[in-house]
Amino acid sequence: MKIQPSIPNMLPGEKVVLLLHRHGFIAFRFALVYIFFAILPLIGWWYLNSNTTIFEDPTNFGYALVALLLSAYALVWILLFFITWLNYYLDVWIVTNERIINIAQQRLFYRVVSEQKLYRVQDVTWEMKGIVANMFRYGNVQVQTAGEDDRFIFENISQPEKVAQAIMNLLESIEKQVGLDKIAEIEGEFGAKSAEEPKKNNTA
Amino acid sequence: MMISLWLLLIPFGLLVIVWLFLSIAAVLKMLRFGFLSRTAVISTFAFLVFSIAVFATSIISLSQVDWSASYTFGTPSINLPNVNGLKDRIPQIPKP
Repeated sequence: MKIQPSIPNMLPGEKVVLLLHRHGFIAFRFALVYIFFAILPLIGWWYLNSNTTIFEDPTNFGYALVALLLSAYALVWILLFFITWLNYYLDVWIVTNERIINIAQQRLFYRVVSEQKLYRVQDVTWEMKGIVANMFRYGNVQVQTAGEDDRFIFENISQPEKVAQAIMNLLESIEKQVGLDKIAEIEGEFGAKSAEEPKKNNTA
Repeated sequence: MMISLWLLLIPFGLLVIVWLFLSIAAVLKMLRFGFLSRTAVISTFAFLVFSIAVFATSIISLSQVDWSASYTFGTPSINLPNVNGLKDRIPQIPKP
């Protein structure tokens, strides 16, 4: 759980309460895959070095081909690693005292930003599924809003129970500030039939 | 078939151009949307350092190659000049 002082397009008087990324174990999992693919060319290099004479004469065709292939492999590997890290790191859920923002970095050139007003939140559910998730304490938090299908899912975040509790605390404080009658009035305006879809912005 | 070694550099050059384009896009995206947090800046810096290291290693290893050389695939055909009719005097092996 990480708290940042500011976010882009902040509303006046808005404060960031939670800024959430996926759990570090998710990053560790993809890092393992990339480590495996980093070892592969080293094995190839060792095999060629011990069984052939390619590396003894740098002027021959085999050396040129292997050097080019290894260079290309290293460049592609490092770029894909960085893009995968970027997709992981830029997948963010932000909870402020006014709204919930879901930023999904799907691919390098595909980014979806959705947001929902906090007073529209009706139900918060959290889950930790599986042995590994329970061991490392990560899971999902589902935030149900006023619309029928409007649901935000914070996927694989650290300590989902604390996040759910924090959102519930925020809702309680909003109810205290605004008053339950006002909330009911606002919810009435956003009834299930007239519920709008969450605002979505696709940016490259 | 004979090919020049420098022809191998063409696909590599294309790859480097695409790589540069995607890298610049990724770095800009990370700095723009990563809230300029410490993690975002450090990971971008690490990517740049490793990329430069890979480029340097590649340039060092590729600079040892004689790119003006050619390589022949398959059986080379030798066209020697028929000096003093020597070619005609090579005994022909009868075909079975």
